Amino acid sequence: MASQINNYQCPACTGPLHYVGTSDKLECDYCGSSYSIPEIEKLYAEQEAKAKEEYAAAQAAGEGWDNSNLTSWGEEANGMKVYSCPSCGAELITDETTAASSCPYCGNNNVVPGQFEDTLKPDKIIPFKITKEQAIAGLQEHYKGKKLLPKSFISGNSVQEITGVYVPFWLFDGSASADVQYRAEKTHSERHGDDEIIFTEHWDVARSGHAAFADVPVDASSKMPSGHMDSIEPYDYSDLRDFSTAYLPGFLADKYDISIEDSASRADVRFENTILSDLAQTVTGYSSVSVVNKNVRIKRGKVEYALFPVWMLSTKWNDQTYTFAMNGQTGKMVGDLPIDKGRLVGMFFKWFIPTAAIVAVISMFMG
Amino acid sequence: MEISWGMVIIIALIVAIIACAIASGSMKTVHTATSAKHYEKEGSFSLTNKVDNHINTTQQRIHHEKSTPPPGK
Repeated sequence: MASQINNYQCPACTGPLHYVGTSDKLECDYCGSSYSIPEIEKLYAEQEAKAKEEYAAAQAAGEGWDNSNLTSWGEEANGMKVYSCPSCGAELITDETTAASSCPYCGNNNVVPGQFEDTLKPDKIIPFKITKEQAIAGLQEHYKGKKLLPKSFISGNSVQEITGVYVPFWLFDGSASADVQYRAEKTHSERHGDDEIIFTEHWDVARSGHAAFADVPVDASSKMPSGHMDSIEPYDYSDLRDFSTAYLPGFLADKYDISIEDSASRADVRFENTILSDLAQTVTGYSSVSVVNKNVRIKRGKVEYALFPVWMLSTKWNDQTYTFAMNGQTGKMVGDLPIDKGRLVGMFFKWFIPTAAIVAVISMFMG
Repeated sequence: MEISWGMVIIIALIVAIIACAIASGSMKTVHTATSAKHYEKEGSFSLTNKVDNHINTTQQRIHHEKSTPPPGK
């Protein structure tokens, strides 16, 4: 349908617009114009309404394209989405979970049509604040102070790929109640001549409590490594805004392919661990505490669908790919690094020898 | 003045292993989230039951031999 909004073009020069987090505006690289999100949304709503009218009028006049001889992709279409670039007309193919991309022919930033229709439309979005340059600089910062990192890893590799992705997240509300029984001990000792008497008090301890949670995030894309997504938390929710496709141009965007039901267990585990931790912190004054019995009840609440900004970076070293993720809002960078075994051995002796010398000197003086 | 070399090696070994473990740990920054503490509503935690029952007290007597100076000293 002709009225589908696929991208955002500059009203002044028709160049592609992309969202810039630092200015919180859509900017045109060609003429330098910038527009706020409400301005562009209003402009495109008007254009879309106008295009709909024109399309309906053309259909009524019999001017519509005759596409009766075209064949569909059939089973080949499984897992794929085909759409035309609204800027240059190139036919583009993406996988079915990609919601925003860029055209490899003209570089135009596109929102893939139809990907956020109906129930698939996110409720909220946190826009990108970190730029691509900041993300690359962040990776270099991530290497700093890592004494076990092989030298050749820093000098011999470069960023192979860097992609700004809006990752789908489910935000779970809920509460947890728990009853926990502990076995606890208190010990103290007394000296009577050559005898030491150790007194151990045995206690039965019970705690019950309740806690409520809001917007616990669980990533909803199977393409994203969950450990990385967990590790770049937390996001600052004060930047959460109502979703608009105007934030997407310039970045990739995924839609969820892990359902609420499949994601909920991850939120449940976090609810449970947190209430158990809260209760455990109230058991104080004992020398040892162990859990004897626990009963945790989770009450699930509201779920929202949100897109969060993530920079995904990958580097290659020794034929192995290393993946890093950066929180596109806060700049928190995570990613496991290789360990140089030679440096590890070197570090061991660097600590062992001076420590041994110091302890030997101290013990000599103490007799 | 005698040096307990066994003690020296054990202490140096522990310190070196701890240093290496801390440095190795800093290379791993990816982990699975297990807590929702950051998302707990402020002031929502309520302790509804708190019981501490003393069951009994046990005693263990340890006899320490008086250290006697080694012969010849």
